[in-house]
Amino acid sequence: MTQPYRIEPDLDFVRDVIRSGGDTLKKCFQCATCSVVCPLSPADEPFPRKEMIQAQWGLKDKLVKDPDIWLCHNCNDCSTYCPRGAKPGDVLNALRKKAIEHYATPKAIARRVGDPKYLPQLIAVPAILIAVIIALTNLWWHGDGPTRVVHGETIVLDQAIRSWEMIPMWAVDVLFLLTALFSVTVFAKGLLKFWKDLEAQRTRKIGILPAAVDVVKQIATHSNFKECGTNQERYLGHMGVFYGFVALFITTSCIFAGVYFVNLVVHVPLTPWPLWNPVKLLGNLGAIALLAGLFLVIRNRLNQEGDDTASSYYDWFLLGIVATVGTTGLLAEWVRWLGIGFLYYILYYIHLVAVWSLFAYTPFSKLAHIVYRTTALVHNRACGRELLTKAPAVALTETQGGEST
Amino acid sequence: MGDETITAAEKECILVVGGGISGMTTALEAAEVGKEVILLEKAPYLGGRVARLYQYFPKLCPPTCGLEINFRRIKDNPRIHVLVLSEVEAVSGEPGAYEVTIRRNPRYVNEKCTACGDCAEACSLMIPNEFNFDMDQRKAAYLPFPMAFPMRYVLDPQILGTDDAEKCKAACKYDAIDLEMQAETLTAKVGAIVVATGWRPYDAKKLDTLGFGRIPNVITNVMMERLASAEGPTDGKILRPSDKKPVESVIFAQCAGSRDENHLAYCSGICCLASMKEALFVLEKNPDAKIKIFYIDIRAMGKLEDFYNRLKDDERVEFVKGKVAKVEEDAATQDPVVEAEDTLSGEKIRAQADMVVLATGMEPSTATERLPMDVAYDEFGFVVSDGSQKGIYAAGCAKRPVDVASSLQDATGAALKAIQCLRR
Repeated sequence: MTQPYRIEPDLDFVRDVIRSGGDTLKKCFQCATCSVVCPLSPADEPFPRKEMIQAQWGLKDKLVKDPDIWLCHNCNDCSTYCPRGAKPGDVLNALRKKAIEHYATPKAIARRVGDPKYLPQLIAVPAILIAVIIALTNLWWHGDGPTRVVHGETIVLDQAIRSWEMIPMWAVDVLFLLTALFSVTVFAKGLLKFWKDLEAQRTRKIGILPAAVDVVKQIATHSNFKECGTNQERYLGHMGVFYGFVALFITTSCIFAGVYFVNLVVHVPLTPWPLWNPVKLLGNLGAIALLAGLFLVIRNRLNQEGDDTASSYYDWFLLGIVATVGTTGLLAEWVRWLGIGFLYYILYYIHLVAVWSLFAYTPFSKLAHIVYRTTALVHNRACGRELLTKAPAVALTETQGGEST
Repeated sequence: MGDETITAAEKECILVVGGGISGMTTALEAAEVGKEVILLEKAPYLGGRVARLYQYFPKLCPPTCGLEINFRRIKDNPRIHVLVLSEVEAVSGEPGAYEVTIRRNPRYVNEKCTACGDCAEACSLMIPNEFNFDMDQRKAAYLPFPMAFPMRYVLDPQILGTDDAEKCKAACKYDAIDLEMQAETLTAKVGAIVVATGWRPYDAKKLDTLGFGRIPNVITNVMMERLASAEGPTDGKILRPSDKKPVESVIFAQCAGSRDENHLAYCSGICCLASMKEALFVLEKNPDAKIKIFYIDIRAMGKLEDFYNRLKDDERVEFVKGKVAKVEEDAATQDPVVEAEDTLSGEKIRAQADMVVLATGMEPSTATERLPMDVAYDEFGFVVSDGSQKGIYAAGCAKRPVDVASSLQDATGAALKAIQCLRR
């Protein structure tokens, strides 16, 4: 702040922020109400007032690496109290989109994820990919009579509906492992760059590990979310989606480990596993938590729409994928119980397309916040820049009119 | 003159609604060029908001000085018919020929009153003193303020039916107390109407993060005027409400509700100067006091910038660029603690002082109480008076938030417009 800084406004960046839901940006008159009412904004170099003026000035370089846009949990207290309707909450949301685009490569995908006109393309990729895999695998794998060899086991086909009747499990697993590998690579690249940028901005005072432990605790309890003043429902909603995903991740990992590794030692029954199986139960509970949380999040968005916040395409893109994953997953299970094979296979196909999108597009979508926000929180924690703390109260009589501002 | 009769029915007459500084000025300007004027005021006295100020900016002179001259001019002018405790009930007709129905509420004290004060002496019933923003109490038989015009006591309606009412009546040597007095309805024919209904301070309780009404030592700028006034609740000593301690440090929070689309979307125009003026009140009473003024932008227009520079050069006064968005109370000292981001340093600060003064803005009286006549209002409730509407004009703060000097100019202009509308 004290060093001279040559301002090089990036007007395209300003336009892009405005287009990405930050259309109220220019209304800000820098009163800093937002920085004070924000329950998370730290005492030193608080946000989001500084981000608002930097965004107005088009300081892209500063903003995309700014950890503070990630410290924000988008509770919108700032927008509720903003005297100008400048909606700092929405502007920060748009800035996060720009940061994700900045760190994610290839840029071609990043650009497409943020732009509604490319949605058909983004859906077409997994839709065609998975359709082709189904077609190919069915051609040669379904050709060997009334029995199948699944994981070394010879199965006599019956009337039961099984996902691997449509697409062999190994094919799904190979596809998703490769996709996950792609995402992890994209993330790793972005993350290294982001970390370097963070390190250049502030000096760490404590180790990364203890900081990370603190942050994991914060995330597990959603303690930052709970501070939100005007919008408590978001806390519950996000908690539901978060733990829903955690449960589903555990379930998937257990099945994967069971089928490929445990099966080498003891016999693991073929999927689908019965509902009473704890792993299966966890998966179902996860799906319910996910959908319930998602319902709250969406209802909350629709209720808030207008005055304090406006949801952008980028928000709905992620919500759409998650909603599709959750509903098709659960519906497919029900339809399977009902024995409607045709419908089951359609739902399962859509489910696979949605899950693939979730995997592949995560580093480019709003969901990338799981990586960037966590990283920013850890680094910030390591720098000793505490959220939720107040500046010390200084009595006027103590400063004797000497302290200049 | 007198506040009993309307004698002007036959002649060309102007009705001025509101007896504050704008209304008084309009009435005088019109009457002094020979027009008949009915000057209507809801309160039992003239002077409005100005009567409650301690000093004007930038000259720091007491408004009583200017009020006294105006009262004198009104008293001496037979063409001004003052009706206090009165409100317009209905208006019919057209420009040049309106018929106005006026409701006059009972004062319970007639023209025989000499303002000797014996009734107040006899009265023991105390009621919140609205004149001092309820910071103290007053007798139910009272003189609104020491130089009130008309110089006549008032009985608050709450006294009716109590023993105190009878005691007051018995104490009056001049038979001036009339407990049977009823509201009356008067009619008048007027050629033009000037709306000078003025403003009220924005309700600071609506600023939920700033603690007014919850933290005793958070007050508003209009309350500060009364604290500084020798006739105020603290006899002119600036004592904080919680423990009557003389203040040694005061924080002024600018734009408390103004320039805020959740409250008053516009700039009230006067609060910056008012706070700077009030900072000087504090320093006048306690030269060692410390002042901090938190602002978004200082709006000291034109030559008023000199006043701002004067304060900037005073090392006891510190300006902080950043809006106070939160006020909490330090439990041990009862000091309010304000929180803001100093936008020049980019750090959040919390400052603690004996008292916090919220610079609440001006809300037009007509924001909620619409007038029973054909006038247009803007989105904030100010009366639109752009010349397109003949016959009814607005003056002063009924039209937009302005200081006293601007009100006077505007009121003079409104008088001229009204005169032009009269039938010749």
